[in-house]
Amino acid sequence: MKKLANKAGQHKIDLQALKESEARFRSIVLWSPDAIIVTDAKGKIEYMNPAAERVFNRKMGSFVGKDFGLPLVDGESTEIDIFRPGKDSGVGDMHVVEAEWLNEKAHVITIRDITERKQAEEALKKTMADLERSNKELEQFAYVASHDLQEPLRMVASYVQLLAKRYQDKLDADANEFIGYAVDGANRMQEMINDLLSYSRIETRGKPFETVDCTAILNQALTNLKIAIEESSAVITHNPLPTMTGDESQLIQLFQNLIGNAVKFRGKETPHIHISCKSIEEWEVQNRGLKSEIRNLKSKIEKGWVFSVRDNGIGIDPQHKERVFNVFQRLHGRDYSGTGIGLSICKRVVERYGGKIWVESEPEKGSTFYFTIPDRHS
Amino acid sequence: MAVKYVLKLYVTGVTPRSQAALKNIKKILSEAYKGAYSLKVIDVVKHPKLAEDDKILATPTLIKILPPPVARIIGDLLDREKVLLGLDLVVVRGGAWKK
Repeated sequence: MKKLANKAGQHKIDLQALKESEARFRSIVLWSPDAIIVTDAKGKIEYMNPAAERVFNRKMGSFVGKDFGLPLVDGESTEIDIFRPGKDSGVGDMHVVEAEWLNEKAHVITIRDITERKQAEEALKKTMADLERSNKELEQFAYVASHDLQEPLRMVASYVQLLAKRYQDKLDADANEFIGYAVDGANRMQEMINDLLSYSRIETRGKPFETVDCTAILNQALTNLKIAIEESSAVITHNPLPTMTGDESQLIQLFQNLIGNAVKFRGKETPHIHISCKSIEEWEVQNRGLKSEIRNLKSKIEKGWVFSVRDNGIGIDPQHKERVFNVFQRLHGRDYSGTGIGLSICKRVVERYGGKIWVESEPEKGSTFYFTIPDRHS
Repeated sequence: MAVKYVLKLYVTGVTPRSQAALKNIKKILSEAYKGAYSLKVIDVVKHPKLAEDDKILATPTLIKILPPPVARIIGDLLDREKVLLGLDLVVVRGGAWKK
């Protein structure tokens, strides 16, 4: 008798526990932000949770007993379009599990509304595609313009030169001066067009990357700059440089432009130019606590090198640090030769590698140009 | 050949999901029932009334009307076997797919 009473008590407790656990599970389904639909084995709707009403923007009552459709999911989940009468359609991520519902085979279908995420993704994709297209168009434009401009310009230049030669002193002094300006202008324009062409060719005529020895590249760049270096009696030193993968002629161009600038923009003292290279890891350790753009290097490139070209020249006002890399940007008027494309070319070459270029400088004390080159072997 | 298989596919505009489903089902049907099927494609954006009448909740939804019984599947329609089984159309060994 006592035993029986115990059993009845036990039963009561079990029932209580069951009720509590049922309530818990019910609230999970009721409060779920995802639509939950239970269908029978054939896809007929047995149950829909309140979130389904919101996701599908309809009263769920009229759907119970109707055919949802047998859910076919290839793999984990599949994306579907959500039909919402009177509203724009949405996108859902449909997840299906086979389960038992009231002792029958059933499908438990969870649909997460991913409309907003999808819209953001699509907008981003479109922006990227637009950007890529406009970049390509610009490149094409720069190439065509500079290429096609050369011919008429050559004609202007050669006829103005002919005029200068044949009519020298046959016209008045003003005419001589004007012809001089015209010749000078035509020459400068030719130079700019050539520079623009080589700038646009960095992408279009770039060669595939191969293994290159940076010491050999530096030596070639120095050979190309021989006259300028001798004239300025510049002293050029360097640390050991690595072997890496790259486009040899573009790397020569990169070193040549940076060293050429260091020679060109020299101060009163004998120019001293030092080229060095460190792995990104080494660099990070040495520059801990330094400026954020240097500290952030590693987040952009995992493995690779930081090169630096340091000089004791006239330096750059910090406010022009970014501008110097713009096409045809010149800070010194016509006191110095050149069109102002050298650093733009450097920037493009470095960016073709996925690297970054920047300058640290103090006026009158000198500048150091840094650039990173990611290691392509890893 | 007489049309023996009649189906309706509900899609939403030209979303990637709609386009993939249409491509998949056309391939499956033309391989299984070349010339013997009719597939009506209904865009819920253009014909919301039809979709509401058919109690469409999401697309792609494919409905088989003939041969009976009416069957309905929803999803990416990628797996040929799952699609045909889901529509209650079974395979006959050594030949074409038949009901």
